[in-house]
Amino acid sequence: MLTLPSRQRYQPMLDFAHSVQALRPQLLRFAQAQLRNAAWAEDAVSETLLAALAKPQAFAGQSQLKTWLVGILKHKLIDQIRRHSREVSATSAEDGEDIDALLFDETGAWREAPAEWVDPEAACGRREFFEVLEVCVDQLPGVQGRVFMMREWLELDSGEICKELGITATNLWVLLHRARLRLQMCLQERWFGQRATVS
Amino acid sequence: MKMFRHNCRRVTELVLAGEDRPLGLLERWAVRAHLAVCKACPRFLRQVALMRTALPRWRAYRDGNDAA
Repeated sequence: MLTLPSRQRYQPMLDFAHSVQALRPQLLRFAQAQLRNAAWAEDAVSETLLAALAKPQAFAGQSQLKTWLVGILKHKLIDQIRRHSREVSATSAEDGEDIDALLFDETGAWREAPAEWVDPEAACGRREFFEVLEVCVDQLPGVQGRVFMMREWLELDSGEICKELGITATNLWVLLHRARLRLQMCLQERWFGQRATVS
Repeated sequence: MKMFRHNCRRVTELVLAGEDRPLGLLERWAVRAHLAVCKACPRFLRQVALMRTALPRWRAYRDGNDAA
Protein backbone atom coordinates (compact mmCIF):
# COMPACT_ATOMS: atom_id res chain seq x y z
CA MET A 1 0.00 0.00 0.00
CA LEU A 2 1.20 3.49 -0.90
CA THR A 3 1.74 5.91 1.92
CA LEU A 4 1.73 9.66 1.44
CA PRO A 5 4.92 11.41 2.45
CA SER A 6 4.65 12.94 5.85
CA ARG A 7 4.53 16.71 6.24
CA GLN A 8 8.00 16.62 7.78
CA ARG A 9 9.27 15.11 4.58
CA TYR A 10 7.83 17.50 2.07
CA GLN A 11 7.94 20.72 4.09
CA PRO A 12 11.64 21.35 3.32
CA MET A 13 10.83 20.90 -0.37
CA LEU A 14 8.07 23.49 -0.13
CA ASP A 15 10.36 25.91 1.69
CA PHE A 16 13.00 25.41 -0.96
CA ALA A 17 10.48 26.04 -3.76
CA HIS A 18 9.34 29.23 -2.02
CA SER A 19 12.88 30.53 -1.59
CA VAL A 20 13.63 29.82 -5.24
CA GLN A 21 10.40 31.48 -6.35
CA ALA A 22 11.18 34.55 -4.25
CA LEU A 23 14.31 35.18 -6.31
CA ARG A 24 12.42 35.07 -9.60
CA PRO A 25 12.00 38.86 -10.05
CA GLN A 26 15.70 39.43 -9.56
CA LEU A 27 16.65 36.66 -11.98
CA LEU A 28 14.22 38.12 -14.50
CA ARG A 29 15.84 41.53 -14.18
CA PHE A 30 19.28 40.00 -14.80
CA ALA A 31 17.99 37.99 -17.76
CA GLN A 32 16.37 41.08 -19.25
CA ALA A 33 19.58 43.10 -18.78
CA GLN A 34 21.52 40.44 -20.68
CA LEU A 35 19.05 39.55 -23.43
CA ARG A 36 17.05 42.78 -23.75
CA ASN A 37 14.05 40.77 -24.85
CA ALA A 38 11.20 40.05 -22.44
CA ALA A 39 10.09 36.74 -23.99
CA TRP A 40 13.59 35.24 -24.10
CA ALA A 41 14.27 36.46 -20.57
CA GLU A 42 11.05 34.77 -19.39
CA ASP A 43 12.14 31.51 -21.05
CA ALA A 44 15.62 31.59 -19.54
CA VAL A 45 14.27 32.21 -16.05
CA SER A 46 11.58 29.51 -16.33
CA GLU A 47 14.21 27.02 -17.48
CA THR A 48 16.42 28.05 -14.57
CA LEU A 49 13.69 27.57 -11.99
CA LEU A 50 12.67 24.23 -13.46
CA ALA A 51 16.26 23.02 -13.42
CA ALA A 52 16.70 24.19 -9.83
CA LEU A 53 13.49 22.57 -8.59
CA ALA A 54 14.28 19.35 -10.43
CA LYS A 55 17.54 18.84 -8.56
CA PRO A 56 17.40 20.61 -5.21
CA GLN A 57 20.01 18.17 -3.91
CA ALA A 58 22.53 19.93 -6.20
CA PHE A 59 22.16 23.00 -4.01
CA ALA A 60 23.18 21.19 -0.85
CA GLY A 61 26.40 22.60 0.51
CA GLN A 62 26.29 25.76 -1.56
CA SER A 63 26.44 28.83 0.62
CA GLN A 64 24.05 31.13 -1.20
CA LEU A 65 20.88 30.16 -3.02
CA LYS A 66 21.02 33.24 -5.20
CA THR A 67 24.59 32.62 -6.31
CA TRP A 68 23.68 29.05 -7.22
CA LEU A 69 20.61 30.15 -9.20
CA VAL A 70 22.52 32.90 -11.00
CA GLY A 71 25.08 30.26 -12.00
CA ILE A 72 22.32 28.16 -13.59
CA LEU A 73 20.75 31.25 -15.16
CA LYS A 74 24.01 32.18 -16.88
CA HIS A 75 24.04 28.85 -18.70
CA LYS A 76 20.40 29.24 -19.72
CA LEU A 77 21.15 32.75 -20.99
CA ILE A 78 23.94 31.43 -23.18
CA ASP A 79 21.45 28.87 -24.57
CA GLN A 80 19.03 31.68 -25.40
CA ILE A 81 21.78 33.74 -27.04
CA ARG A 82 22.74 30.73 -29.15
CA ARG A 83 19.13 30.10 -30.11
CA HIS A 84 18.51 33.71 -31.16
CA SER A 85 22.02 34.66 -32.27
CA ARG A 86 20.88 36.41 -35.43
CA GLU A 87 18.51 38.76 -33.59
CA VAL A 88 20.88 39.15 -30.66
CA SER A 89 23.56 40.58 -32.96
CA ALA A 90 21.27 42.76 -35.12
CA THR A 91 22.63 46.27 -34.51
CA SER A 92 20.42 49.32 -34.12
CA ALA A 93 21.13 52.85 -35.36
CA GLU A 94 22.18 53.73 -31.83
CA ASP A 95 24.74 50.89 -31.85
CA GLY A 96 26.19 52.35 -35.03
CA GLU A 97 26.51 55.86 -33.69
CA ASP A 98 30.10 57.14 -33.89
CA ILE A 99 30.65 57.92 -30.25
CA ASP A 100 34.28 58.85 -30.89
CA ALA A 101 33.18 61.79 -33.04
CA LEU A 102 31.45 63.25 -29.98
CA LEU A 103 34.59 62.97 -27.89
CA PHE A 104 37.32 63.85 -30.40
CA ASP A 105 37.74 66.58 -33.00
CA GLU A 106 38.90 66.02 -36.60
CA THR A 107 42.56 66.03 -35.55
CA GLY A 108 41.89 63.26 -33.02
CA ALA A 109 42.30 65.54 -29.98
CA TRP A 110 39.89 65.45 -27.03
CA ARG A 111 37.09 68.00 -27.38
CA GLU A 112 37.02 68.09 -23.61
CA ALA A 113 39.82 66.44 -21.65
CA PRO A 114 38.70 63.55 -19.41
CA ALA A 115 38.31 64.48 -15.75
CA GLU A 116 40.39 63.07 -12.94
CA TRP A 117 38.07 60.74 -11.06
CA VAL A 118 38.27 61.54 -7.40
CA ASP A 119 38.51 58.81 -4.81
CA PRO A 120 37.98 55.90 -7.20
CA GLU A 121 38.93 53.31 -4.62
CA ALA A 122 36.14 54.42 -2.29
CA ALA A 123 33.63 54.35 -5.16
CA CYS A 124 34.47 50.73 -5.96
CA GLY A 125 33.34 49.55 -2.57
CA ARG A 126 30.01 51.34 -2.53
CA ARG A 127 26.63 49.89 -3.22
CA GLU A 128 25.37 53.19 -4.66
CA PHE A 129 28.21 53.16 -7.16
CA PHE A 130 27.24 49.70 -8.38
CA GLU A 131 23.65 50.84 -8.71
CA VAL A 132 24.74 53.74 -10.91
CA LEU A 133 26.96 51.39 -12.92
CA GLU A 134 23.97 49.09 -13.37
CA VAL A 135 21.86 51.96 -14.71
CA CYS A 136 24.67 52.91 -17.10
CA VAL A 137 24.94 49.34 -18.39
CA ASP A 138 21.15 49.17 -18.87
CA GLN A 139 21.32 52.34 -20.96
CA LEU A 140 23.79 50.91 -23.47
CA PRO A 141 22.34 50.39 -26.96
CA GLY A 142 21.04 46.83 -27.61
CA VAL A 143 23.95 44.93 -29.09
CA GLN A 144 26.58 46.91 -27.20
CA GLY A 145 24.78 46.09 -23.97
CA ARG A 146 24.52 42.41 -24.81
CA VAL A 147 28.16 41.97 -25.80
CA PHE A 148 29.35 44.02 -22.84
CA MET A 149 27.33 41.82 -20.48
CA MET A 150 28.56 38.68 -22.23
CA ARG A 151 32.12 39.84 -21.67
CA GLU A 152 31.89 41.30 -18.17
CA TRP A 153 29.03 39.42 -16.55
CA LEU A 154 28.89 36.04 -18.30
CA GLU A 155 32.70 36.25 -18.47
CA LEU A 156 32.99 34.89 -22.00
CA ASP A 157 36.17 35.62 -23.90
CA SER A 158 36.20 37.43 -27.24
CA GLY A 159 36.49 34.21 -29.25
CA GLU A 160 33.46 32.67 -27.55
CA ILE A 161 31.34 35.80 -28.06
CA CYS A 162 32.24 35.96 -31.76
CA LYS A 163 31.40 32.27 -32.14
CA GLU A 164 28.03 32.51 -30.37
CA LEU A 165 26.96 35.62 -32.28
CA GLY A 166 28.59 34.84 -35.62
CA ILE A 167 30.34 38.21 -35.73
CA THR A 168 33.95 39.05 -36.57
CA ALA A 169 36.52 39.99 -33.94
CA THR A 170 36.74 43.47 -35.47
CA ASN A 171 32.98 43.94 -35.12
CA LEU A 172 33.12 42.82 -31.52
CA TRP A 173 35.97 45.20 -30.66
CA VAL A 174 34.12 48.15 -32.17
CA LEU A 175 31.03 47.25 -30.11
CA LEU A 176 32.99 46.81 -26.88
CA HIS A 177 35.01 49.96 -27.56
CA ARG A 178 31.82 52.00 -27.91
CA ALA A 179 30.20 50.33 -24.91
CA ARG A 180 33.18 51.10 -22.69
CA LEU A 181 33.35 54.72 -23.87
CA ARG A 182 29.65 55.18 -23.20
CA LEU A 183 29.99 53.67 -19.74
CA GLN A 184 32.81 56.02 -18.86
CA MET A 185 30.80 58.99 -20.12
CA CYS A 186 27.80 57.82 -18.13
CA LEU A 187 29.80 57.32 -14.92
CA GLN A 188 31.36 60.74 -15.38
CA GLU A 189 27.92 62.26 -15.71
CA ARG A 190 26.11 60.31 -13.03
CA TRP A 191 28.77 59.66 -10.44
CA PHE A 192 32.16 61.32 -10.69
CA GLY A 193 30.86 64.58 -12.17
CA GLN A 194 28.52 64.91 -9.18
CA ARG A 195 31.53 64.87 -6.89
CA ALA A 196 34.38 67.33 -6.75
CA THR A 197 36.67 66.81 -9.74
CA VAL A 198 40.02 68.26 -10.62
CA SER A 199 39.79 69.83 -14.08
CA MET B 1 59.82 58.21 -34.69
CA LYS B 2 56.92 60.23 -36.10
CA MET B 3 55.18 57.11 -37.38
CA PHE B 4 54.63 56.08 -33.76
CA ARG B 5 53.16 59.39 -32.73
CA HIS B 6 49.45 58.80 -32.34
CA ASN B 7 46.66 61.20 -31.54
CA CYS B 8 44.41 60.90 -28.49
CA ARG B 9 41.61 59.23 -30.41
CA ARG B 10 43.88 56.48 -31.64
CA VAL B 11 45.48 56.04 -28.21
CA THR B 12 42.15 55.67 -26.39
CA GLU B 13 41.19 53.13 -29.03
CA LEU B 14 44.31 51.10 -28.25
CA VAL B 15 43.88 51.49 -24.49
CA LEU B 16 40.34 50.13 -24.71
CA ALA B 17 41.36 47.39 -27.14
CA GLY B 18 43.84 46.31 -24.48
CA GLU B 19 40.88 45.37 -22.27
CA ASP B 20 39.76 42.75 -24.78
CA ARG B 21 42.87 41.60 -26.63
CA PRO B 22 46.61 41.63 -26.01
CA LEU B 23 48.30 44.63 -27.63
CA GLY B 24 51.29 44.16 -29.91
CA LEU B 25 54.71 45.44 -29.02
CA LEU B 26 54.48 48.44 -31.36
CA GLU B 27 51.02 49.29 -30.09
CA ARG B 28 52.18 49.27 -26.48
CA TRP B 29 55.16 51.36 -27.42
CA ALA B 30 52.99 53.89 -29.23
CA VAL B 31 50.63 54.16 -26.27
CA ARG B 32 53.48 54.66 -23.83
CA ALA B 33 55.13 57.29 -26.03
CA HIS B 34 51.88 59.22 -26.29
CA LEU B 35 51.07 59.00 -22.58
CA ALA B 36 54.45 60.48 -21.75
CA VAL B 37 53.63 63.71 -23.56
CA CYS B 38 49.84 63.94 -23.17
CA LYS B 39 48.09 65.48 -20.18
CA ALA B 40 44.58 64.23 -20.93
CA CYS B 41 45.09 60.59 -21.90
CA PRO B 42 46.70 59.44 -18.64
CA ARG B 43 43.44 60.43 -16.93
CA PHE B 44 41.53 58.34 -19.40
CA LEU B 45 43.91 55.48 -18.68
CA ARG B 46 43.17 55.81 -14.94
CA GLN B 47 39.44 55.75 -15.67
CA VAL B 48 39.91 52.51 -17.60
CA ALA B 49 41.95 51.08 -14.71
CA LEU B 50 39.16 51.96 -12.30
CA MET B 51 36.64 50.17 -14.51
CA ARG B 52 38.89 47.13 -14.55
CA THR B 53 38.87 47.09 -10.75
CA ALA B 54 35.19 47.91 -10.42
CA LEU B 55 33.72 45.37 -12.84
CA PRO B 56 34.66 42.16 -10.98
CA ARG B 57 33.33 43.76 -7.77
CA TRP B 58 30.13 44.72 -9.56
CA ARG B 59 29.80 41.11 -10.70
CA ALA B 60 30.27 39.84 -7.14
CA TYR B 61 27.81 42.41 -5.80
CA ARG B 62 25.25 41.44 -8.41
CA ASP B 63 25.55 37.69 -8.05
CA GLY B 64 25.72 37.55 -4.26
CA ASN B 65 22.87 37.55 -1.77
CA ASP B 66 23.68 40.99 -0.42
CA ALA B 67 22.23 42.54 -3.57
CA ALA B 68 18.77 41.17 -2.80
